[in-house]
Amino acid sequence: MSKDIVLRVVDIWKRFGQVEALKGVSLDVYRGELLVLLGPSGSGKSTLLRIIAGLEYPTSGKIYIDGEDITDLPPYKRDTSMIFQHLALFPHMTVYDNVAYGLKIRGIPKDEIDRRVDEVLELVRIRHLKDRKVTQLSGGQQQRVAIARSLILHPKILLLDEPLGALDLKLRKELHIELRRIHQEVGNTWIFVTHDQEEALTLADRIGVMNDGKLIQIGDKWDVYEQPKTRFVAEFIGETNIFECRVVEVYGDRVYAEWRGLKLGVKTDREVKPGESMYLSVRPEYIGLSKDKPSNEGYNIFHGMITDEVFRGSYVMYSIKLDNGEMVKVTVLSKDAEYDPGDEIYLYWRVDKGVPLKE
Amino acid sequence: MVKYDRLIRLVLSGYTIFTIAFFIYLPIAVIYIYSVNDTPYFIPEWRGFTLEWFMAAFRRRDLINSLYNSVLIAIFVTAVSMAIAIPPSFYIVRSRGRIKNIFLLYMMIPFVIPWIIIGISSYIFYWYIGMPKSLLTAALSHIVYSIPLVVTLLAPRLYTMDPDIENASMDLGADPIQTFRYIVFPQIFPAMLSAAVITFAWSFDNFIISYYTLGDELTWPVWVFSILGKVPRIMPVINAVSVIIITVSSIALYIVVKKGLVRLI
Ligand SMILES: Nc1ncnc2c1ncn2[C@@H]1O[C@H](COP(=O)(O)OP(=O)(O)OP(=O)(O)O)[C@@H](O)[C@H]1O
Ligand SMILES: [Mg+2]
Repeated sequence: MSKDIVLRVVDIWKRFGQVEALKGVSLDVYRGELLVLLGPSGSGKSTLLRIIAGLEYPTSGKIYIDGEDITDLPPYKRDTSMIFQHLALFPHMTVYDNVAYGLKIRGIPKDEIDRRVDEVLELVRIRHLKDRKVTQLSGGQQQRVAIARSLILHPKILLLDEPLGALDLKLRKELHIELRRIHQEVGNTWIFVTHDQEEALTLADRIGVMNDGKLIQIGDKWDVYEQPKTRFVAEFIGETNIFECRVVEVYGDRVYAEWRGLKLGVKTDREVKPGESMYLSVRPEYIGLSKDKPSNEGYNIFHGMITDEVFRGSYVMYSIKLDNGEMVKVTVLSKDAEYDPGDEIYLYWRVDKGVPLKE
Repeated sequence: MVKYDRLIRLVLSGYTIFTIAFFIYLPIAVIYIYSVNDTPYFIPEWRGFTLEWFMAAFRRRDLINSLYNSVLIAIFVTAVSMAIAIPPSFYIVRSRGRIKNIFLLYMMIPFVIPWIIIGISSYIFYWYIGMPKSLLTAALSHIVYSIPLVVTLLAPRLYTMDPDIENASMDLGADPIQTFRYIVFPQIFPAMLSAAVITFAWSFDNFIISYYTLGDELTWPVWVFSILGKVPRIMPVINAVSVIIITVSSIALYIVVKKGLVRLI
């Protein structure tokens, strides 16, 4: 993927009456990538997408596609296409008419339309449903119609607003794989909005996390997962343990902090001073368990007792009460989960697996 | 329990059928019979078949004229009130919270004003602005009432339309006019047609408002009122015309319902 910017969102604000839906969002989107915008309900994801599509006008800020300012262009003059949260298929039309709509509006000759409809229905694997009314299709099939209806126009940017929200889990997982395949075959730029972190991690090249009208963090999905910048991001993507501690000693990038009577080591590039408070995020899967006291260098090692276990299929999540009374979550692959509630246990994690958060 | 359910349902449907048959279809049947009964009086006796009353109806210029006026006004009222009412229907349905309720309230008020008040206040209004009463003034007063009628009939259909369907159309390259033509219109057409049918029927039928706002040219209901008791042997003629009106409108209604253009429920 080349780092060639196709869409540039610059300092977008949007106010609806009393509600400030977007508070200065800026974002660069690279050509050909699949960017997922992830955030809780009401964080402004749909609003941002609709502003990019031209369906909503920003209170202030600019949108550029390939360097051209399109902020004032109406939706029907933009090279973007949107797949709506509730799909918004044309209920009085067949699959064919839905998919052909954009080309008909553009006055493309009938035989070319037919050819391109066949082509795109082939791509989304519903060619056999061409003459059905869209109201007679299953949820997953309607989904494919919506995608075909947009893709047939070869939009520079495809915008997807929680398009799988209404489907059951199994179908969603199937469609995730389909969507990645289609994205790779088509090769255009996709911005996919969701509030489901698992969906985000499955689909994305990059993830942008939104909260309360702001883009909190954006980056490669691994970086966002492993190096969350804020407590919100750490807790929203994946499971994590948050330790509220206080810095006591600083030796370059190596810091010691006090956490409810325990001393733990932290690695950080950030400037910190003794006395400062700090949140530390440690993912449950980075914490190891052992019955005997481990003696590894560069690890934080604590003692506690297992209070609860939850079987989650491929892994088991243990709740552990440490000697200082704090609870810690630890996940272990099911095949290695040889502990029971009541067991005394040592837990340990590599110092650099604890991520200090800004707030 | 189940047995009682069935009994209640039986009683209810029997009651419904009886009410409709007795109060609506029986009088209509009587009108049909007397329109071809060879007597000018409502006597309980069959005096032989005749088409005389139909012939007489076609011979009366004033009668034909009043029917023509009624149709003319009804078409005008329907067309104008549809054109006026559709944009605000959208606006009201799509607006949020309090604004919507305020608009709906104002739209509903004409329904609770008795027609006679609309008639009399129109009468005073036209007199006040010095506008001579005519078919036009009657039509304008009908429109006052028809606009909220159309809004009320269209709003539920518009309300169930997802605005994102129009957004999708524009997103796919259609401008607002194309979007109305290919996406909105086909979806609201059945609701528009039923609104039009009801508005037409209402306007055609209205007596009280017309009575106060017409000039020398009369509509059918007002003409009937003006002639009753003044011209001998007119009742069976009116019967004959009623038979024609009922027959034509029933056939029209049958066609639109049958074609699925209007859904009754
Ligand atoms: N047309 C509107 N009028 C008024 N307020 C609006 C409008 N659209 C959105 N909002 C408000 O703006 C905020 C952001 O809404 P938005 O739909 O962008 O959130 P979202 O992140 O897409 O949420 P969800 O996951 O529930 O779809 C919300 O507080 C919402 O109530
Ligand atoms: Mg949304």
